[in-house]
Amino acid sequence: MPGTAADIYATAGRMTEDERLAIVARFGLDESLWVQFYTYIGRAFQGDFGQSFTYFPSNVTTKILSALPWSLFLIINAMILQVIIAFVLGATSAWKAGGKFDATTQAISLALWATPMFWLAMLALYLLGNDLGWFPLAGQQTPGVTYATWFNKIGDYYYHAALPIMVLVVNQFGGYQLIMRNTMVTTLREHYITTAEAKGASDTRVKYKHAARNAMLPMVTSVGLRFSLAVAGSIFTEMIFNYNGVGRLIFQSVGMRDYPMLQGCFFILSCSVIIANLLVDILYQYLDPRIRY
Amino acid sequence: MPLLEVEDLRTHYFTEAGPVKAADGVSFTLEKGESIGIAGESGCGKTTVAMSLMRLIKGGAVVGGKIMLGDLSLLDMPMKEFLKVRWERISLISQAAMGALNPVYTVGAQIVEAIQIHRKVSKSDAWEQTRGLLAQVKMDPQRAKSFPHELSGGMRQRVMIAMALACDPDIVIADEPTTALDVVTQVQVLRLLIDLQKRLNLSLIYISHELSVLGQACDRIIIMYAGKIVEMGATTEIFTSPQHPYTQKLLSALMDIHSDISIPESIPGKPPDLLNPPEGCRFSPRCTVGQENCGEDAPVLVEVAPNHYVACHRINESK
Amino acid sequence: MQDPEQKRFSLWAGFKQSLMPLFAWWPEFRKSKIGIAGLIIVFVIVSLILLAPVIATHAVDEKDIRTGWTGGKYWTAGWTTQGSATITDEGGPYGDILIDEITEYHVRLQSDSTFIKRPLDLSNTILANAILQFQAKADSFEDGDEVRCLISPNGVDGNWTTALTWQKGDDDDVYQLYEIDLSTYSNWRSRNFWIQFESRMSSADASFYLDDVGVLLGAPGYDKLSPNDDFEPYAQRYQPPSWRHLLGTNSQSEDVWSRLLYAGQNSLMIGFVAAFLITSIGASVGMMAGYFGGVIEELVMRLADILLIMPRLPLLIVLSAYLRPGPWTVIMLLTITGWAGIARSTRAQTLSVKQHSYVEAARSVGASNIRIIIQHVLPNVAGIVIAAFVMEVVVAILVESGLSFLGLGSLSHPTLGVMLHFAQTDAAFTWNAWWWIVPPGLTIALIGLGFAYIGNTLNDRFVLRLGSRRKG
Ligand SMILES: Nc1ncnc2c1ncn2[C@@H]1O[C@H](COP(=O)(O)OP(=O)(O)OP(=O)(O)O)[C@@H](O)[C@H]1O
Ligand SMILES: [Mg+2]
Repeated sequence: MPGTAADIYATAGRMTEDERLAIVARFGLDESLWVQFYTYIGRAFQGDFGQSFTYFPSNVTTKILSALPWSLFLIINAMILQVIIAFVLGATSAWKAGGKFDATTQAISLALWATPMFWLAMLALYLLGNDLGWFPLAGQQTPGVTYATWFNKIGDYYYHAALPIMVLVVNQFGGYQLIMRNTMVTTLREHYITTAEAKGASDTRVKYKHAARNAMLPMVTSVGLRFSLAVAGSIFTEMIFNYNGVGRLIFQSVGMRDYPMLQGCFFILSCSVIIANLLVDILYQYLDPRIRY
Repeated sequence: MPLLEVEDLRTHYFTEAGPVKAADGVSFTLEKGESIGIAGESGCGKTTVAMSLMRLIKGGAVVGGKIMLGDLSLLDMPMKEFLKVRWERISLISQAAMGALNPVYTVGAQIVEAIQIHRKVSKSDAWEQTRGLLAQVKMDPQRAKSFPHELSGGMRQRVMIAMALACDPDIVIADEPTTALDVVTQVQVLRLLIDLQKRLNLSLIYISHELSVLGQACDRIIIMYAGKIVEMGATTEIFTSPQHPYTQKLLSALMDIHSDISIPESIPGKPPDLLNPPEGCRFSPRCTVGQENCGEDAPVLVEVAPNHYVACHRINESK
Repeated sequence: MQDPEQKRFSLWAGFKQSLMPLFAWWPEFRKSKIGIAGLIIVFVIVSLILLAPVIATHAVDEKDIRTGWTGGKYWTAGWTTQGSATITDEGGPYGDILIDEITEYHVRLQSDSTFIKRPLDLSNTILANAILQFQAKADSFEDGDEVRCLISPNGVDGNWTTALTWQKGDDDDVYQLYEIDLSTYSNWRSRNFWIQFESRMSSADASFYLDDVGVLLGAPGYDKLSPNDDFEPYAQRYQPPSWRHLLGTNSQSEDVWSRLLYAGQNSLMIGFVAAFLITSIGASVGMMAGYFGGVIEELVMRLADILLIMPRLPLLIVLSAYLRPGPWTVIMLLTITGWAGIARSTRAQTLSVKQHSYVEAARSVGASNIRIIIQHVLPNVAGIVIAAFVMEVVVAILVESGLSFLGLGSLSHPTLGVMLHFAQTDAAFTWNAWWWIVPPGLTIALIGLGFAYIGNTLNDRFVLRLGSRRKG
């Protein structure tokens, strides 16, 4: 999608040639690409991604930072749910590996994983939001309300985030579930499981307290890597549900060729992925005593 | 009446190629305070017998026989009831010293769990008991707060022994408890076990493929071959007058090591495939003294001397 | 010191031989119900898609525009009257087009020498045909009374030719429908007419009534019909599924079924080529890094680590925002961002193979590196690589469809994602055009699911070897 934002406005007939040149100069687009790139990198590391073309004169960083909490709200809630669902389903399907439940859950979660998320989001918006009217169609909070209590506020946030989170969860829990299930199958062959059973522990205790507790470790490790998948998913869900997070900002910037904004979003998302990985590493130490230093 | 009575135990594993008859008509008894050893080559079904007693067979099932613990028929009990038999009445020190403890919990917590599953005691009481148990196995009670990976192999096996004693069981099954340990530690753990068995008047089932170990630890020895008991008798009987050719081979192999004269006389041939065991006496293909009918019908255990049983056509006929 | 066997060793033979165990995969694979289901689904969908030229009912860009008549009427106001002609309630202004709307419009001609007339200028439209349509009745006509409908086809007030005549005997006092085919007039091309009704009546009782005057339009393309966009029944837009259009039509009056098949071809093509490049590059890099482990290989693996941690879709979005979209651009981008995962797992496997004693043994007798790689490393990584390839097809198709959905795909080779992009931007749901939204997504899902079932089974049986059951 080549071209500059100035070209877009010019072809849309909103601008004279003089105005176009003025804008090109204003954003430094007349410099060579290398100069532009060099200037950009230099500033990016100071947290300055320049000014947005579309939200001019808004600063890219301010714009992104105001959108980021909403994205994180979706992503973190979705990931927690995914991990919980995967924990229970993966443990249960491995408990009788090769059985009916195992085959069914694997078939379903693979199918959901192979389904394009944006399509799921479209269907969810249409069926659950539009047809049944259970969920709001857009936005991240009811416009123009003042919340009576703190509780109402959180409730309203969740009410608006429910569909996007649901789509993220449904589409992405399969990855965790597969890891959980496969590790659980091998964990169940461990001798300490036999020990636990010999101790007279009930099935539930053996399954969760001993097997799943150990089998969850690789899944937890994968949370860090999979964070970037959730970020990708949030682009689609935010776009379709008109949820004003970073994902929607990216989508809009693509349409407007707002390169400073795109690069800024990418930078911030990469940073949040790295931070998520660090957090997971720290959490992991609490879950696996063998790793503690 | 014996404490434990196993009668005609048959345990099969189900594989794609067909059932593996890993225990095929095993019968023996165990008295209160008695220690009994089970010996045999790797793969002859020792662990299978132990696991059948605990009803812990995976990938297979007990397909026949009877296990009586006092007047409880263990195989017929509903699983819910049987959970109370586990550890309360029979506890298990398993074969894998390294992997038998859960890596994410402290060893103390794992012993406390065993106590709290079976006894209604407060957490602090359970911890108190745990420290006592660790002291009993000659470990520093402070070690209760350690994770398994922080302990040496020998200490882990001591923890297992402490855990096995946690609920004052009638029977302790020790399945090759010293296999993965270095020689010095093996001796220590073995001493500890023998000592505890005597002191607590435990009934012990000690599984090992080392006859020498069983000679030290057990009152009676069972020799298994390919899922069947071939010889069973008091330790001294077995060591002084082994009757079955297989037992004789095992013992001569053992003696050779100890006399340090020549390389042990290994038993020619491989242990049989339990999927399609040989007809008749299962040892017949490897037996050097076999006769005509050995390959036809299976010999049964016959009492050749008081409480000394042998399953061999040669012996039976000479009787 | 070369052993004779090594001399006979040829690359291709070694390659074939090392992969022989893989050809024995079927007996193990067939035990998995999920795997078989995946194979069947993939087979059915891929055959359908490959048969597109045969089973597509329409060409990809063929717009379904029908040349029939519309029920719409082109109401004309602005009649000139003379004599005792009376007009009540004229229709809308000239050019207004009303569909299915009853408009009160009455004309009455009485006594002698009265007429109404008006121009009918259709020159700003490109029509296949036009029919002047009206209802009329003659009442109490005597001998000699007469009303005529005159058409002047030259765009001038004059040059009249008679189209219809009413005389005594037509006076049954009931409105009848009349149609005059304007395209039969000599200079139809100019589409500029005058219409006139004139009467000669001697009796004062006699009168002539005219009602519902309009023009029935036939058009080759609705978009050229009129500047007014409301008038479009000619184009078969948003048609629900029917025998003519198995999956209905989209906003451009194109056949969804046919487009689906061709888009499926493009999606599959991109998915396969990208997955092939990703796995071959990833596996080569991984094996090299694992086997040789030089500085360059290490650097490449660090790059792989960075790539793995970067959010792939945002990266792809930023990159493709700078590039000209096209199928090869997409394939290239997918490959650049996708090889790292396979490189990492292949490297790990290669490292573990390298430690086996047979590799050491082979090396100590002087076997070449190439030979060791082909004979020992390749057979051990082949399972991982093949399972990864199958999974990568799914991922590539999904990521491509996502990019296309965001409008960053290849519009010249529309894929299933591109179809959904247009469905979204044209707000297909507000037209309730589920047939335009459900099939493309479902097709992606089914292709993905089929390959995922196969890949997962391969992974289970040949990589993780989780085949056996725990409890009997
Ligand atoms: N889950 C299983 N599925 C199929 N066969 C099994 C299974 N577990 C054990 N077997 C087979 O049953 C036979 C007896 O196994 P078992 O573990 O009881 O032997 P063992 O005497 O304890 O040997 P070791 O001295 O090696 O511990 C062996 O031939 C073994 O291959
Ligand atoms: Mg064993």
